[in-house]
Amino acid sequence: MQSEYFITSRLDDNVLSLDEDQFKELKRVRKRLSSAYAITHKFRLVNANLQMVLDAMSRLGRLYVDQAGSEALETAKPHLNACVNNYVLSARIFTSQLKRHVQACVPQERDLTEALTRQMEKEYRLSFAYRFVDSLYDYVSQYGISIHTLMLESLAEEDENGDIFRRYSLKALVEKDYIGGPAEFRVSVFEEVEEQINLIDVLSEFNESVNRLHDYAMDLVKIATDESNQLISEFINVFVAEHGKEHNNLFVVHMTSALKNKIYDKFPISMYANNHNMEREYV
Amino acid sequence: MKLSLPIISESDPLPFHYRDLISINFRQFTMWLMENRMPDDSYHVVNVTFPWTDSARIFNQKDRHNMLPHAAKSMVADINDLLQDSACVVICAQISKLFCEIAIATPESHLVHTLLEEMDCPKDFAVPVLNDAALTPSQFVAQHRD
Repeated sequence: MQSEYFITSRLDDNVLSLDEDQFKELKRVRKRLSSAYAITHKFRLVNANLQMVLDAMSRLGRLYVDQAGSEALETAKPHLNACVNNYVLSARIFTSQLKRHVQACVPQERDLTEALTRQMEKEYRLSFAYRFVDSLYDYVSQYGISIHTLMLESLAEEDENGDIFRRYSLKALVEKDYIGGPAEFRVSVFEEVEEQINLIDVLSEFNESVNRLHDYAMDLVKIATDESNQLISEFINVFVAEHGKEHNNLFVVHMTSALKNKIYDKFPISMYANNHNMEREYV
Repeated sequence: MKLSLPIISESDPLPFHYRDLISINFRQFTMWLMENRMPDDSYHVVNVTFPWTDSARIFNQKDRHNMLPHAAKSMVADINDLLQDSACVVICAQISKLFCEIAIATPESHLVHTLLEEMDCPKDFAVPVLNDAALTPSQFVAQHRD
């Protein structure tokens, strides 16, 4: 059985042949880059979920202030709860897989992964918000609820003409009494919880930790991803030089040239170079 | 990332601050008078507790208690009408699934008792219980605000 390796596109039958070493090299760099991408994609997901929480809060506040009917309010409340739950779950996806992604990017450099571990432990140690949101994942997965109480306040003031105007504020609260006892929540964190937690404050502060960890992880893998990006770009350029620029979705194939031409392996490469949706150069 | 809420003028001109607590099995709306309109601490406080009727409670439950703030504000407006020619003023109100409490500051407690006797019992509520709170107006408001 003879193996064949090549780069091709969906567009037509043009190929760029590869030898086995080149195939393995491309496979390695694709793994590195897809891992780096995963870190950033998941981070953007977490950020987007936080924005959705804030938007849902604003919307609920507006509905309340505008004296919208029960139906509108009773739809907006579970919507807000869903946004908070989504944030917590996506944050867990990010933190629980971060080390794995860094490791996949720099498999030979254990000291880099260890540096990340220390950084994550530091965030946990120094930030109550980090500890709390991390613990909230189990609570939310179990009970499907995060917000126990909404507090809407409206403080009245008089303007120069003696007319009254109001400033509204809205808080989403987690209540210690509704959580219950230490069996329902990570014990060490439960003991730190005061009567009420302002959820938005805690989520925002937690998000700053996520931000720091993302930037730290991306710095750790920068050299590896720069090199990988360069290599992939080189191969893409060779293909394009031979077959033309319109091939913007290339993938690498490992196939047998035996009777049934079976494809053993196939993976995309174009998406890892020239991705204009990513802010940083290397992804 | 910041949370922004509107600053509204005109639509709700009652000179009271509000707090609405919306919780899983608990709803409580509290309103307290603006500081510059509060009577001094020589005044007494009479607390009037109106219990919801059974049928009103059922209706409220169906509506998820979203009309409670409006009910409290209506009650305060009605009682202020009743008190307008007297030296009495509503300083605080609190409404929940079970009761609507109205706190009235007065130079003399019996004035409130007399005035309220002339009031028709509001629809949706049963006959109220009146009691003289052993607190000054500012103490009463401070207790209910926190």
